Amino acid sequence: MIRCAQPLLHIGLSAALWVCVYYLNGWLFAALESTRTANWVFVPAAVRLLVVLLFGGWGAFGLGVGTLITNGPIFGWMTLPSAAVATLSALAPYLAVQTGRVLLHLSATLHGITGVSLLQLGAMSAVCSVLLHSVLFYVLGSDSGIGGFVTMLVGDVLGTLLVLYVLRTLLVLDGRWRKRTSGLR
Amino acid sequence: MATSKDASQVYMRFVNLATAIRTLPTFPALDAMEERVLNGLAAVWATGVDVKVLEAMNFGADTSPSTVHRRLKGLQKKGLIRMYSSSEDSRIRLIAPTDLTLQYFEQMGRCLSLAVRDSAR
Repeated sequence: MIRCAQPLLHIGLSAALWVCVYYLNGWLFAALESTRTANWVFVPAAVRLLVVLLFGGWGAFGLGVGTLITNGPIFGWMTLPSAAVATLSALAPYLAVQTGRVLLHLSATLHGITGVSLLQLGAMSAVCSVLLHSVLFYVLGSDSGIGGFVTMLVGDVLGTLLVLYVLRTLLVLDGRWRKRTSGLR
Repeated sequence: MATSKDASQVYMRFVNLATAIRTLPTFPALDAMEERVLNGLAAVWATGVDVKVLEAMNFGADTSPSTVHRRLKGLQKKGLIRMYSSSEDSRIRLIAPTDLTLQYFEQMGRCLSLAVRDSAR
């Protein structure tokens, strides 16, 4: 029972985070939406990266579950296109992170990961995700051409950068605040 | 047992990830020599003139001109200086600041103000 609890927690957290950030992105950047599947700023791309880095395969599975939920209004509930998009949403960042970890010689605990390697992993995840999604949308016949590809790629990169640098700012501010409250100079 | 190992692995990933996020690149990192050369250049730029490469190479009395030249190339690669030929004599190469240089000195100024404010408390 306890052995199942942790994977379930990781899946649940990943799915919930995806759904929340997906709808938050839709609300914040509604004006930048190009099509229903492409936005010039796509913050959930960062969730894909961070969740897979933290929780590995279970995180990717959670992303698949979360994408199934957010795909409902677009592709229909429990339809084949919806399941295919969800599978790619989970698979793309997982493949990118696993490949990146090998190329950047990162251990399972991410020991030695730097800011630059995190950006490289983010770029790999974005490219992998956009490529696989573009191929799928082409097969499904909902392809919006090179324009959609560019929008998705720019959106994923900008969204990832936005989240990472907001987190960086928060961590730096937190460090300063702790230093100040602990009386250290 | 496997669960606690997994949990500790996730925690270690979290710690390493937080460290990586904290070290995300902002400005290109400068070594001490590049910083010294950039400060020397800024002192001349403050007088309103661009610096000749040959003049810059003789900035440091204790540094060889070739070392300074290597650092100038490094600064140019990092986008912190711009080199161009003089309109009067194309043999003369001049060094000018870029937008990034101005941002760099603005940030340095802010850091200095913070340090002064904190030390005054």
